[in-house]
Amino acid sequence: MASVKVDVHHVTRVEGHGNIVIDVENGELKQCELQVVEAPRFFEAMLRGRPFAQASHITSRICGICAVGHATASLRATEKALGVEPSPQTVLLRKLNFHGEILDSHVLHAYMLVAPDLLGTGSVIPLARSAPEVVLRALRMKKLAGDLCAAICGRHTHPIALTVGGFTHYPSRSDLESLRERLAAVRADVDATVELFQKLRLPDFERETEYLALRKPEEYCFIDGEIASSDGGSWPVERYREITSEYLVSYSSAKRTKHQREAYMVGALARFNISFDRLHPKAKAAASALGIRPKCTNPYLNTAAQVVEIVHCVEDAARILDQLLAQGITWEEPAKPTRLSGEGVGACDVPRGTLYHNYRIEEGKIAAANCIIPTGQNLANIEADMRALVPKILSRKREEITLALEMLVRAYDPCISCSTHMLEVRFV
Amino acid sequence: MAIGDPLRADDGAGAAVLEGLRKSHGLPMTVRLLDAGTGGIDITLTLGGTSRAIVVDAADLGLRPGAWTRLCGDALRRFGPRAANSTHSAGLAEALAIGEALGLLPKELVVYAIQPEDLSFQEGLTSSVARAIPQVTSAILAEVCRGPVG
Repeated sequence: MASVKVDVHHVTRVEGHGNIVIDVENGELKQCELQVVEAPRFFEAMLRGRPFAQASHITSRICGICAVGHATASLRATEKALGVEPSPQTVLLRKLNFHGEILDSHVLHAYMLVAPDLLGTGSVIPLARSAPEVVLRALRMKKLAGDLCAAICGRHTHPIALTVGGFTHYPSRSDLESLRERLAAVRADVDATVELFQKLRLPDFERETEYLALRKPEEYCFIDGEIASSDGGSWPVERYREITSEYLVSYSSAKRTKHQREAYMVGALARFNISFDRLHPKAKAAASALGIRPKCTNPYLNTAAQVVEIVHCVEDAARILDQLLAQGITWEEPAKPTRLSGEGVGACDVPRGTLYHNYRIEEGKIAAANCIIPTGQNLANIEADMRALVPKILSRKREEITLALEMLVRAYDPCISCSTHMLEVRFV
Repeated sequence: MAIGDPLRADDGAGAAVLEGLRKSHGLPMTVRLLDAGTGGIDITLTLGGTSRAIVVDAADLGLRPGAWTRLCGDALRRFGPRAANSTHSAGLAEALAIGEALGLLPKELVVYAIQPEDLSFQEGLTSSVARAIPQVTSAILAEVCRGPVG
């Protein structure tokens, strides 16, 4: 078929609202757009003038799925601005909390958003009827992930125990012991997850791409670190603006980013490509089983990389719990700011990719705030993928082309609600 | 269980009702109040642990703003998942459909749905929805004090 028009209004099974518009005439791709139609967000404006201690509580509400990610990036920005040094125990607890969120988000994405396509059902509801044990397994894993988060930060979504310099609440020994037992038991579900995605065939499609992720020499990094590129090079997070180079397109309310090529990708696949050697051995084995190894340039395999991270996070969470149980939890007062004015950049690699929060604080109040969300960074790459993919699948039926494109968007696990911005427009 | 985001105007209706219940003096000790926020699929899990649940949420039912209704049984089932019927990813309707398919729903499930006027990003309810809050709060209080049906 040499001409096809695809217009998917409100792509389903992604967080938020996006449209895909493709127009091919006589084999030539005339239009290829991912339009984000979500109402712009006002969080950056909402932060202005607020006391610094409120920042993480406001920003954690940007998204229910990545609440801990936003809160942590927010806290790191504030801590760097005000000269606060978190204790080793705080760092450890934040890592554990993060693992809970990565698990929760990846299980949701792999089982509820991607698996229905691979199993030929339109949504997870028919899957719940035809394969209830699969959906129940996902819910079990999600429950553990949620309980892990709740034990550390006081509430699953919108974490309340996280604060500048530390915590306002600590888990009890029995909380930790119970979680440790449940993590040991969930390994069976994790193995079953790897097996499931081994059997399901993710689409074949390759495109040379630049990948960006946070990196640390000593661990598979989710919090802090340096920005690293699969094309080579690394930069301190303070240089995030030049690395991400945000720009606007007319048909979408979300800004886009680019670095050394026309677009780049962040997320599980980027982390996998950049920090593979720091994965837990069981996670590397899972990667082998799933047939994925660095440098992988198939965006559909972002989901496979997420399954690998599920394995890694379960194992690393167990390790952290063992360490906490061995050393015991000390009830520490949150570390105090050494000044009330300053500027800081907090960066975390949340489930969907690298997230930046940048605050300028004056006399204890947020004077300016900038947030760059992972999904915003992926939008240009999704379009570049679509431009490369469409000519390859032009001969298929229209419904198949549509499905392939929807699955491509879903593979990125986009959180479109997070990625839109409000602009301040001034007439001069 | 309240569902909804108080940072999206009338989507905070559920949380407002919860606050009303918390402040009231007639709530039996056996009742647990839970703010599930923009809960998504986790709603299914939480409901699965109960035998009787009342959920409060803002929902577009095509009524005038501030109108509210009590849904249960077949009426609740007809409130099926639609493509964009929620401010968050997996909404209440989808969570209930999955819960029912998995046999996880409580024996007694009631939803109080309040018609929103405004769901834009701002704090505070519109006056039409704010007026409904004490009515819904009283109705739920009366219902929990009545005890289980049948």
